[in-house]
Amino acid sequence: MEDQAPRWARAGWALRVSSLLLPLFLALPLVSLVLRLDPRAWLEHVASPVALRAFVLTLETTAVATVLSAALGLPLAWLLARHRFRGSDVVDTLVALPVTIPPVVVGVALLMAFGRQGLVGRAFDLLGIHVAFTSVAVVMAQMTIASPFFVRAARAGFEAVDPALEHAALTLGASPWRVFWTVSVPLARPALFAGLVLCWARALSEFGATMMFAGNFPGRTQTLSLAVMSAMESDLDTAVAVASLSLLLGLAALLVARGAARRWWVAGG
Amino acid sequence: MRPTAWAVLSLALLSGPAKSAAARTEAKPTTIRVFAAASLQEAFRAIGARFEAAHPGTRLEFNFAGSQVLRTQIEQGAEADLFASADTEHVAALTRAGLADPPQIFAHNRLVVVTPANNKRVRRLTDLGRPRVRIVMAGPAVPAGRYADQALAALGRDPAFGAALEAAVRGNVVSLESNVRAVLAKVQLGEADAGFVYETDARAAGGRVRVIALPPRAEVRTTCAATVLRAARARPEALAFLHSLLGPEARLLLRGLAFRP
Amino acid sequence: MAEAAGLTFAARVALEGLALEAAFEIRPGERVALVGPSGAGKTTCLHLVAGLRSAEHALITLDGRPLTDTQRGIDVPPHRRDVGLVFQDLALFPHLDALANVSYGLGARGRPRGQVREAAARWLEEVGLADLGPRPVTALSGGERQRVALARAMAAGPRVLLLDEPFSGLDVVTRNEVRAGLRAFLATLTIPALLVTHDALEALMFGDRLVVLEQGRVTQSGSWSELASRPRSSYVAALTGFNLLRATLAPGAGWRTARAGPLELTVQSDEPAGEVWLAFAPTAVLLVPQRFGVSTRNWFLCRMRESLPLGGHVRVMLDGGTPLVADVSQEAADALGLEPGSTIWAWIEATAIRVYR
Repeated sequence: MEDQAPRWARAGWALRVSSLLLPLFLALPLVSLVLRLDPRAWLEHVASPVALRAFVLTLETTAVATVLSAALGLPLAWLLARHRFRGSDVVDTLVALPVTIPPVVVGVALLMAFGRQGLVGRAFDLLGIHVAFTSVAVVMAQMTIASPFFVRAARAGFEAVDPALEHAALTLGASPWRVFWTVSVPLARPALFAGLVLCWARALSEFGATMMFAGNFPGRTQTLSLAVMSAMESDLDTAVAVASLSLLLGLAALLVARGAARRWWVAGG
Repeated sequence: MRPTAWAVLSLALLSGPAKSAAARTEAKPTTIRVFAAASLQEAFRAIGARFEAAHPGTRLEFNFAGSQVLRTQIEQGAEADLFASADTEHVAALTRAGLADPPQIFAHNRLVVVTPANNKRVRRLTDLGRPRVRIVMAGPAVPAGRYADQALAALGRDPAFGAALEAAVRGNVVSLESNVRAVLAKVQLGEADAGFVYETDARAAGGRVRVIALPPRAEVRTTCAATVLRAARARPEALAFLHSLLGPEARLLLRGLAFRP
Repeated sequence: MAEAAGLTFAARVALEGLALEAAFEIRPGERVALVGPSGAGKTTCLHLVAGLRSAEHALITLDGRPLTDTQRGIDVPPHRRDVGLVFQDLALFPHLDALANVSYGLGARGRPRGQVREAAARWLEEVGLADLGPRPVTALSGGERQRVALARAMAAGPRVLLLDEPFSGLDVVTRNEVRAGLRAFLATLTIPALLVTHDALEALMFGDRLVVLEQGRVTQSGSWSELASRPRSSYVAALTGFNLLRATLAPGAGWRTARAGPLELTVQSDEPAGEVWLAFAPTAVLLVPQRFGVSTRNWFLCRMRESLPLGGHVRVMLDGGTPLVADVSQEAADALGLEPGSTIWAWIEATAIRVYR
């Protein structure tokens, strides 16, 4: 006979305690951060030029990085999901690599490639194109770190779409391009959106690669993460206030993702 | 051949257990935690090695970073016995907060400009103001960054240089690093055309960078100070190390690394 | 010389553990059933025609136009083939409603929106689902979904219709409902139609002609009676060894009488009275020397005409006023001591008799 009582009530105390440990561990630092805020000075700190510039720069660069990651990642994700071509394992590993390497190392690698003495950077230098220490470098660092998250989520999304549906669309006369946009993408939409949010969130929190490759300069390359670090070195209160901005953005990202997921889940996808 | 090889081998094998047997009869080594500015790496390691040899039973553990980072860590409760900064300010702040003894000056340094060895863009100091020159310096809270700011302000007042040139140079700054070694690294990599570092850092980089000295009117003589922290666990040992830092042997060593007395 | 019309198919392709090598043709308006045991390569043939698969050697033409010609390096992509395919699991687009599904093919051709919706609505009417346009396909019944899939394929204006086991996903009740509709629909087609199935009765109902595919090879092709009278493999024999009688069903519901020539059979059906087909397997016919039991229903005295050993069992052709086929085990055949001309009682299991129009 099926027990109708809610699961939580039936869980033993050992299960309850152990399952609460992790949320507690995660919540404690965040709560401590919020409690450290000085409500009166908060607005002042947050509206300071340093904070505002970092906020705006972060929004701009993460937006561009996310859009680019999506634009380049969509066709790749679809290809990886559908075709087992000769180099697909290599490409797969390559895309997953930045996630496993420490971001600072990624930053050094970016310098090796695009820096003045870099593999490609050398040619850029001759053409008068300079990438390091610019906002472009910030976007590049964010993209390198965050795009794998989008590709992975998008790929899983496409894999979940029944290939028979794409075949059916083809036989009905739709070109592969049309099939992609009218069948594959709409059906993978929840996963694609989740991937976008994940990508954006990861770009938001990017620090090591940015510091290494793009440098740290207010208004040009000092993102919220870098601003917090710099502020920490002189004034803890400013640092905490700017950190709270970061927290707010992260929270916003999560809420948007949650809201969208709920809407789609209810509507039946 | 073979008998000699066996002899050497057996000697090596025997000395192992012999050494550990000796170690076991001694007490466990006392660890002295030293937080020191990034520019003091080579100096402290050398001085530290001497100290460990002269004081068996002690062991030095180093944490090198920007002075401001270390100060914040100590303020937030990090466990350290001795703090050495590239200025007196950070140490004084800890003293005022009741966290440390008064600062003891043990060396001086000099601020210089470095450029990558093969860089054609910056040859003279005035080249720093040329368009599209990339300059890196330490952030405003880092001692090296403050010194650099001081130097630039002095250059601005120098008629041979001028305020306009100072503004141009400041406009060419592309990154504010969190410690002086990061500045050095960017210059060494060729990513920056020039950077403000200590003379001792330039020395440490050897032939990979070229040094441009600051003119006498804009010269910045920096001060390195150290202190033992009130909450030090290994207080007597830390005091001993500080004492050796101020002693003649250390002075000789520092001199050799281009620190100034 | 008249232009070659209809579908021609010839292909050779290596599948997992199977080498497919088959060739057949379908004329316009002809309905061919591609029959065979599971894994024989039937769905592969459909996918080859649709262009969803490629082969080492293949020549596929439709109305004279080559779709695949490996010798000349021609391989028309699937979206330019004008091939209509109804998939085994229907592959309806879950994110679109019924009308949008049916409009998909037309929309892909860039026709103006108003025209597309009109044409799609007409096709929905054609398959009897006029008001179900705005319904999401996930909310439709099995039979309704099948009809939407059919309308969708036809609305795109194909030149050949392929159906992949159209009833495999349906339960028995729905299957019976939909069968009649599909049969009537296919009868109106002017384009060639190819239906893949492993069910003998479906092949029987829907095919003017059968092509039997076993282990990747075509073992026999022809009309039902040709295959039934001269089976060239045991599979074909088992497939076609069906009893098929034309009968008149008496009015009523549930248990009723159906008169097939001189035979009066009791059957179970809810079909309206009138002309029907009765089909039952040779294994549904029991042969005994003496009648037993109380009821006289479905008992017939027959004369044996000939017997055909089929490896393990024996096919017995009888004459009970109308030709009957019975399958008995070798032991039973020996025990019965059947001789051509001898009489024997045959009992047909009523529940095994399928009634359809």
